[in-house]
Amino acid sequence: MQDCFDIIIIGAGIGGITAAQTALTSSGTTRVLLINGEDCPPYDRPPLSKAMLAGDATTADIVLLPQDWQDAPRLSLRQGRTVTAIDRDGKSILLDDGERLHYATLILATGCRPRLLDPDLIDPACRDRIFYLRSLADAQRLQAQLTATPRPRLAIVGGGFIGLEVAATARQAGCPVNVLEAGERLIGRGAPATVADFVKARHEEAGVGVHLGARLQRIAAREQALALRLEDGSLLQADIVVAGIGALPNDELARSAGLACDDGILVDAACRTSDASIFAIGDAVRLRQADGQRGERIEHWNAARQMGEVAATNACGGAARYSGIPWVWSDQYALNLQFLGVSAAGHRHIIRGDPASARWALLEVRDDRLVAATLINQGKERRNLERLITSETPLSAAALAALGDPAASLKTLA
Amino acid sequence: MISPLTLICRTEDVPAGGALQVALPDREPLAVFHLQGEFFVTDDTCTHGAASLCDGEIEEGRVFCPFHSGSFDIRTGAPVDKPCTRALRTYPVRTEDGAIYAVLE
Ligand SMILES: Cc1cc2nc3c(=O)[nH]c(=O)nc-3n(C[C@H](O)[C@H](O)[C@H](O)COP(=O)(O)OP(=O)(O)OC[C@H]3O[C@@H](n4cnc5c(N)ncnc54)[C@H](O)[C@@H]3O)c2cc1C
Ligand code: FES
Repeated sequence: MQDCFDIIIIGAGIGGITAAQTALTSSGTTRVLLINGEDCPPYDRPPLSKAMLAGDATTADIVLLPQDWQDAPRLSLRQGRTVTAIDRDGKSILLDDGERLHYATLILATGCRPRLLDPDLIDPACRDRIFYLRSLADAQRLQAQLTATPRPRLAIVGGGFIGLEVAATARQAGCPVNVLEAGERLIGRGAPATVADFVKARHEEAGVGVHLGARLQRIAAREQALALRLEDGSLLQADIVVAGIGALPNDELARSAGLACDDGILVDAACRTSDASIFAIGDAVRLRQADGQRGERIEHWNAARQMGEVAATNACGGAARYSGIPWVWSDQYALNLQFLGVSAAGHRHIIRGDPASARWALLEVRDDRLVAATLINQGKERRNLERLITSETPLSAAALAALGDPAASLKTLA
Repeated sequence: MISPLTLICRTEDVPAGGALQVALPDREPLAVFHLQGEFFVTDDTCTHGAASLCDGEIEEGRVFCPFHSGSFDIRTGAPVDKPCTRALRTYPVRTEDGAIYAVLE
């Protein structure tokens, strides 16, 4: 049947693309349909706040699916088309142009969308000067602003990864930048305070105004500019606002099809939803924990990639489980930051290298085991540290001393 | 026609299983890899970003980029792991009397 596929994948981000490639390579007969809701070839998102925004990369540089893959005989693509409904009984999906397609297995890889600022805070006259960053189109719109003459003043709401990357890129483009973070430190829970302070100092050195505990009360138009009033009464001027205040899972399609969702499509470690023929992966999902506890949403590139492999392997009859430890990177100025494992208060800290050198790592130990690491321009150590964390190897006093000695090799420990 | 050979470095300068960054005038830096007694010369800068691959990790004939852990086959320059999707440029190599030469044009 022409409109029947072994696997249909909805969403062509890193999760959906990896699932398609894994399915095509792990079986010699599987026919895959990949539905890309965006009207451009599938692209990678992390560069959007970095090289793309800086104008250092072109769309050709961020292509996710090389041409030889696009031409793969068992892969069909639909571009610029959204799925509007899933019929689970009939095992079919409906596209926005009325086309109906049948699946044996469905993989949802619908990602996230930005959380929007409360519209009550914004004077309607300012709306067109508020920017968000999720898609290539968003990045192109914002990039056009950053290169305008004279350079616009930016107020960035949210001191998480996206806000800080935009701050760094905009600063390097010559824009005056203020970052407003409601919490008491940058990056939030994902980073130890020592690292958050280090990153803050780097931004301040670059001339960014970093405001912690800054709660936005109102964005109003004032003459040609915007005036941002904070809850403590202070006022800040800007020409444009970029909000990076988190993301919401695109789980509406799954919810209206009656799949179990809880701020994210609920999946088990096999990436299976409450319907055995439907998998879900990446930013759109929340992992169910084995003990029934509410699990996490892991909105990182590598998690989406790994889940794509897991879901496609299982869709082809395998028995894979998602078991990776969280790993996320962020690039700001000349800093490559990498966060491995789950950082938490109460862990013992070991510093490896000299923070003044901008090449160091903060290692977190609990019960003589390495549980988390933040690497600053130390990506070379990542794979060894990841092995130490996943293997849960108990560390001797000598091994702990080696962790703190940048001259000691980690290879022999891992 | 004989392709011009450029002297890159000495074999003893490249640790076994490791890499050496070589900066020649007027061009982007090169990486020299030493795999099981064989030497390979490639561009040093990752095709995905501004990372130096000599600062990466070498495992089973692949170099893993220190920034985002994409990888390349050192022998062919082919991208293996995402986010790398574009090949790394490789150069033909000749070793002679403890010196490593490459055809850079
Ligand atoms: C600016 C930016 C910078 C980032 N930087 C980093 C970083 O440095 N490091 C890192 O680890 N992570 C980073 N991330 C996060 C990372 O990009 C995401 O974790 C990753 O893209 C998730 O992949 P995904 O496949 O789950 O979803 P997405 O990449 O969001 O893809 C989902 C796709 O599905 C489409 N879709 C949704 N609904 C439908 C429908 N009904 N029909 C058809 N299509 C649909 C969407 O349009 C979208 O194209 C960044 C994210 C952004 C936005
Ligand atoms: S810069 Fe090398 S993988 Fe991104």
